[in-house]
Amino acid sequence: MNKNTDEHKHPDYKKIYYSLLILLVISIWGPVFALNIDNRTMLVGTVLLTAFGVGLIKATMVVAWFMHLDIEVKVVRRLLAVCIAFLILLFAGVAPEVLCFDGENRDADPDPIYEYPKKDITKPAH
Amino acid sequence: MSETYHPPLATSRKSAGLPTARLGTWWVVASEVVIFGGLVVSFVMYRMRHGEIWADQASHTKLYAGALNTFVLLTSSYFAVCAHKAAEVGDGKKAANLLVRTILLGGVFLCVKAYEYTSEILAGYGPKADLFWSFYYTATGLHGFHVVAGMVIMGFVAKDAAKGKFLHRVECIGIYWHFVDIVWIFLFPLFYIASGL
Repeated sequence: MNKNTDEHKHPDYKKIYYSLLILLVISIWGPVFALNIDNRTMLVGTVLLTAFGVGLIKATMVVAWFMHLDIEVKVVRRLLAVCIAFLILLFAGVAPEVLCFDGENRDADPDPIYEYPKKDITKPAH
Repeated sequence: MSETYHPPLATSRKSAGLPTARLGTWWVVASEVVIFGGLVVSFVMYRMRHGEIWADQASHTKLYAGALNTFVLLTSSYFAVCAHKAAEVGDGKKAANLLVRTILLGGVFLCVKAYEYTSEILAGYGPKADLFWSFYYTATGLHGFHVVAGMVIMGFVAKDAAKGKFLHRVECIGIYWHFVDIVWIFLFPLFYIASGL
């Protein structure tokens, strides 16, 4: 045994690599195929599933088998889980503000970078 | 000095259940998760806010270049993990050879990125063209910086590995490199293939 490393059983890396390449092709082909879909909900669903869903699977495969997180000690997994929890907290805390377009204490145009269509207050709301 | 004294070497101190060098690498990765994660989360929020405007901007990025770079980084990750496997059995020369291949692929990635930057800036899509492009250059630039850092460190590790020294570092630089690959796996759909939304 080499004294410089912690030996462990290795999976078939070539098989994992080929699987990752197949997933890469799916993640490119899916959104291109989706452009032919007329239904907006189906289009968004297909793009999200093939681009981000497959991306998530690829990332999980790299983390688990290339970075060996599947056999890593618990403290590392907890460390990463805490970091991801903070990211979710960031999104949950800030998104309601960023994605809000109107409110009592807001300017009419909260984001001066883009010109949003102004509301015509003389017309009754439908 | 007592006979039971152990020097605080990165390979021998295992108070957390894993070698200190690897624990340190994971700490680096954890801090990087927050850095890149914050950037990605902010991008997603603004992408949701500026839906159609950003969809139009995203359609100007080059899908084929992004796809080629994803292929390059996945292949480099494969070489990095094979280098780790070689180092584990004490084959330093093979590990060094595989690390050099990883470095070369990192160079290919940067060349493709340089081509992309040049063509986009010449087409008028510079960092100040739009908030989308500010995010694009910040995220991909920061990622590119990490690729350069990884290549430099990997060069030193490969040099030692070729002499059969510090082989535990092959795994550590591999973990870092795989993380860089994962960041790109998320940046790729965000900037290149979600333009249809």
